[in-house]
Amino acid sequence: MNPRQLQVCLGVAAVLLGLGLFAPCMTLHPAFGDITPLVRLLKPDLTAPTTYSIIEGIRSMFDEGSIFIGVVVLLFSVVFPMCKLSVYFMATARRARALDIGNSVRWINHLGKWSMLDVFVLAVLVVAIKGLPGGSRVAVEWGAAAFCASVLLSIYISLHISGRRNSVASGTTED
Amino acid sequence: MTENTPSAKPASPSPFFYVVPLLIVLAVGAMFWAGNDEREADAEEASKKVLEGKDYYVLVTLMEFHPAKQGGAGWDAGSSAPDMYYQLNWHGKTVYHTKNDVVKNALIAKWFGLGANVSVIELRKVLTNAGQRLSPRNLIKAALISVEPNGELVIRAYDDDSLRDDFAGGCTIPLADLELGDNAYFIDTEGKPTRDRDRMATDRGGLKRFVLRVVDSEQSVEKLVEALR
Repeated sequence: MNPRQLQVCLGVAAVLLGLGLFAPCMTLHPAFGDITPLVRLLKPDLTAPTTYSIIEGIRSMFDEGSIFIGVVVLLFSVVFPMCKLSVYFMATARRARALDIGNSVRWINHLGKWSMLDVFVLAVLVVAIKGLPGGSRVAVEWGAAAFCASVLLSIYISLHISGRRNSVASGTTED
Repeated sequence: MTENTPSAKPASPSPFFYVVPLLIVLAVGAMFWAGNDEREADAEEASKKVLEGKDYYVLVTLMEFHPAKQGGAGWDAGSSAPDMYYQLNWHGKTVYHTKNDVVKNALIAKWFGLGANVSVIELRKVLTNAGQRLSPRNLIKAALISVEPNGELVIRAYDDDSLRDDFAGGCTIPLADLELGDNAYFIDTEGKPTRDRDRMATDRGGLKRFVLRVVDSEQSVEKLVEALR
């Protein structure tokens, strides 16, 4: 892929990341076992489905005092993916000018091992809530799909950029 | 003579390239948030309006009279303030009134949507096993109406007198105009209800303003109590 194509892919990944962070990610349908109808009658608010986006989830973590978890999720689900896209975008711009793509890409690729943590956190969260007693269930919304698509697309882009880096190092070009 | 000039190294890209993905993410987020706010505002607006075909409890929670009747005459003998009560008419029938809950000697009256009118004899019945059932329905002090196309609710205010009650004023409100919660109405110079306080008649006499509370009757008992109290 040439730098222009990579930049288009990065733009798509950024749009997907924006949707993944701000669009509905999961909907919690609470249930209280056999007494669900009674709770629905007396306290309808408790049985009302609640939809969260990743950003809203992080905000509610901070609101409820789970600062550490909130910071971890913020770093690996919001800050790191955005930094990754920024570094890759700069790398493609440098590549278009026949410059070395820089050490920042190497660093980001090293840290990339941690980037799957965002998917992991999301999965753990879904499994944890799905495991709640009383028949509560979680419906995964399209925001989660957009977020995962953004992560996968950025991995695909990183393979192309890293491939270019290796070919530059070995004295061959792929364009 | 040959001159070896090193080839010029291309300039580094502008740092702006770092910001491009961030701007895209933030732009998507801003658009999404703006759209969400708009949807929430629309939903909130829609959720406040009463819906055709649904049943609602309605009652007047606050009513104010002018210091004099329409025409300028005093309310009662001497300088006494009126004894206030109201009627709600729907389909030409009185569906609720507070004739048995008159607010005496006042220019502003408040009523609550919950209460128990239990006499001492009835109280004894309630306390015994064979006594009457006291259900939440008995405690609701409001009219139950259904919102229909072109339906109207008539509010009539009175000064309770021993000989003949004085009509203080009244108005007709289209049901479709009502919103859930408190609906404040002010009587203008033509005797018509308006939601605009600035158009309220200042020296017309009789009924001056009132607040009509509308409560969804299909809520849970707990929410009904919360909304009616």
